[in-house]
Amino acid sequence: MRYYFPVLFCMMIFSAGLHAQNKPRFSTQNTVGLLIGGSDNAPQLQTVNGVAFNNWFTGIGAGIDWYYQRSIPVFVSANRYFTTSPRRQVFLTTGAGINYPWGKPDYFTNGWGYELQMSPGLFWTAGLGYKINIGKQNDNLLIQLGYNNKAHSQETTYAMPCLIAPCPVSKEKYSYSFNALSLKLGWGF
Amino acid sequence: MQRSFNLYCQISKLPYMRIRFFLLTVFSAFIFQSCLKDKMLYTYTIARPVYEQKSVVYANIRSNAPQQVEHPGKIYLYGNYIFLSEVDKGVHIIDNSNPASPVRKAFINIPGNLDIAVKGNTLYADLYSDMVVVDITDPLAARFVRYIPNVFPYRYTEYGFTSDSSRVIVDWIRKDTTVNHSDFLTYYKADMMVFASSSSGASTQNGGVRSPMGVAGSMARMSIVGDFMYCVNTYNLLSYQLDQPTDPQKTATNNVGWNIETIYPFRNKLFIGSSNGMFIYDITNPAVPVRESQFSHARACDPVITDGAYAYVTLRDGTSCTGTANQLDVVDVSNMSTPFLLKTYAMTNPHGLTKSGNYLFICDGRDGIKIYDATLPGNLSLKKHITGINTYDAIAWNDNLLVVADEGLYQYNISNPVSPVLRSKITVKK
Repeated sequence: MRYYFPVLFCMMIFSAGLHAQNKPRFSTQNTVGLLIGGSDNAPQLQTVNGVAFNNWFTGIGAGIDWYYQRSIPVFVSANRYFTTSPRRQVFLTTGAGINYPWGKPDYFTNGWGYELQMSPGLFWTAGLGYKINIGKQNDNLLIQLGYNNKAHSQETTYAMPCLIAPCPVSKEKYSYSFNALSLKLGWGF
Repeated sequence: MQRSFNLYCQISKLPYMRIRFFLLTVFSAFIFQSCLKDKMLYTYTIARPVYEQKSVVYANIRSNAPQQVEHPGKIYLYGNYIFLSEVDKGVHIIDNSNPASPVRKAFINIPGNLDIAVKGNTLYADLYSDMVVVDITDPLAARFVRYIPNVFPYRYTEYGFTSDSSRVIVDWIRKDTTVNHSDFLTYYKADMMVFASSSSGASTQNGGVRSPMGVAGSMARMSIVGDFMYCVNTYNLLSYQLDQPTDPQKTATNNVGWNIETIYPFRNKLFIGSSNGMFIYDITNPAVPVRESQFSHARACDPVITDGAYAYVTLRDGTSCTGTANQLDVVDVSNMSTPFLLKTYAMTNPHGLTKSGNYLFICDGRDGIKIYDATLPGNLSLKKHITGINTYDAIAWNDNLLVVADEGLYQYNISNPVSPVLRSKITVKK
C-alpha cells in the first residue's frame, strides 16, 4: 500500500508518454553526475531506456547512487522536450520509483547478537535539462540539473546478553530521507 | 585574418555563454548545498528500571495468585508439583498431579530469579545476587524465611544498572523514542568517536538431578546432594551445609575457573559446565569438594549430564556464550580422572538435555527436541525429531518428558521414547 500511489503515478507518466506517440522508437539516456546535499557530495550513475516520439520520452531507469548510503534507485521516467533550435532542446524531466539500499552502512560492524535489516524506500526526481544533438543520427549530449529525494530505512536488532534465552532484544530503527541537487552529464540517442 | 577571428568569435559566442551558464549553475548548486536538509530519524527504546525496597520485596515472597507464564526458565520437579522459574520475576507453582492437565496454583514473586532448588520443605532461589530461602511446607502458602547475600555476585548489575544494598530492580518501564539523528550520523561519517566527552549422591537414569523429592534440569546452577547444596556462580563453586534447611551454612568456596554455567551431581562427583570446559569435582567429603579432572573444549555454553560411563556435553554459541560451536560432545568418563572425547555430533543450537534409559533427549534450541538411541554412545542414532518449538531445557521422569520452550511448558508421554505423545502444554502469554 505504501508504494501504491508512487507506482500508480509512474504508470500514468509511462502511459501518457506512450499515448503521445505515433511511431515510437527505442531511446536511451545514460548519465554520470554529482549529488550535492546537506550531508554529502556523491557521484551517481543512471541509465534510462524506453521509447521516444515527437516531444516525449518515457522509460524505465536504474542507477547507482552513492549519496550517504549506496543504493539502487529503480524508477519510471518521463521527459517533455521543447525545441529551442533545430539541434537543441530544453526538457523537463521527472521520475519516481523505489530506492533499494545496497550493502550495509560503513559504520555498522557485525557482532554477536547484532542483526541489520535494510528496507527500501521511495525515490523521486525532477529537473530541467538541455539536449544537444551532436551527430547526424539521434546521438545527443545531455545536461541536467534537478532535485533528488531518496528514502530507505534500517532496523538494527541486538539481543542483549542474558543467562536464559530468549534474551531481551533491543531494536533501533533509522529512517532516512535524503535530499540533494542533481547534476548530470550524459549521452543518449 | 581579423575577419576570420571575428567569425570565430561569432560562432563560439553562444556555446561559450552556455558553458559559462552551466558552470555558474554548478557553482550555485554548491552554494545552496547547505540549504538542503536530510531527514534522519532514529527510533529506539528506553528501558528504565523500577526499584523496590528489599523489605517490601521480601514481604511479597509468598504464594500469590497464579500468573500467566511469559518467559519460562528453569524447572524443578517436587513431588506432584512443578516449580517453573519465570525469568527475573519469580516462580510458578504448578500442580502436576495429572500431567495431562497441569494447573497453575500460585506464583512466588522473586525478582531477578533464574535458579531454583528444593530440599524437603525448603525452596532455594536466587534473587539477583542474593539467595532466598522459602518455606514451602504448604506450596500454596509459601513464606519467606531468610536471604543469603552475595551468592551470585555477577548479577549485582542488570543491563548496566546497579541496585544499592537496600533496593532491587523489580520491573522495567519501556518507552519508544524518536529523535533527529543527523548529528549522530555526522559523527560516524567523520570517523569520530561518539563518546567524546540429586539426592544423597544417588544417580538418576533420568538425566535429572534427584533430591529426596525433587529433580532439576541440566541447566541448573544450584544442586542439592544429601545435606549439602552446591551453587556455581561465574567463578566459584560454593558449598552449603543444610543440616538446618532453612539456615544454610557455607562450608567451602572453590575457585573453578571462568564463566561457570551449570552443575550436575552424579554419585560422589559434581560435573560442572563452563564456557571452556567440563570440570569434575569429588565430593567424598561433601563439605569440601576437590577438583579431580577437567575436560577442555572450544569456547561455548555447555550444560552437561552423565550416566556414569559417559558425559554428554552440549556446546552452543549465542550472545553470552560467544564461540561458534554447536555440537554434542560425548565424553568417556569411565575413568573420572582422565575423561576423553569419544565423539562429537553436530547440532543446531543445543541447550539442556536429559536421559531416560538408553534414550537421550536434547533441546536443540530452535530446532526442537531430538531423541537419540544412546545404546552406543559412539554411534548415536536419531530416532525422533520434534520440530516447531524453541526448546531450552528438559527433564525426563517416570515416563514423562517435561520440556521448557519459548512457546510454553510441554509434557510428553515417553513410555515409548521413540514415539512421544504430547500430554499437555501450558502456553506462554505473548
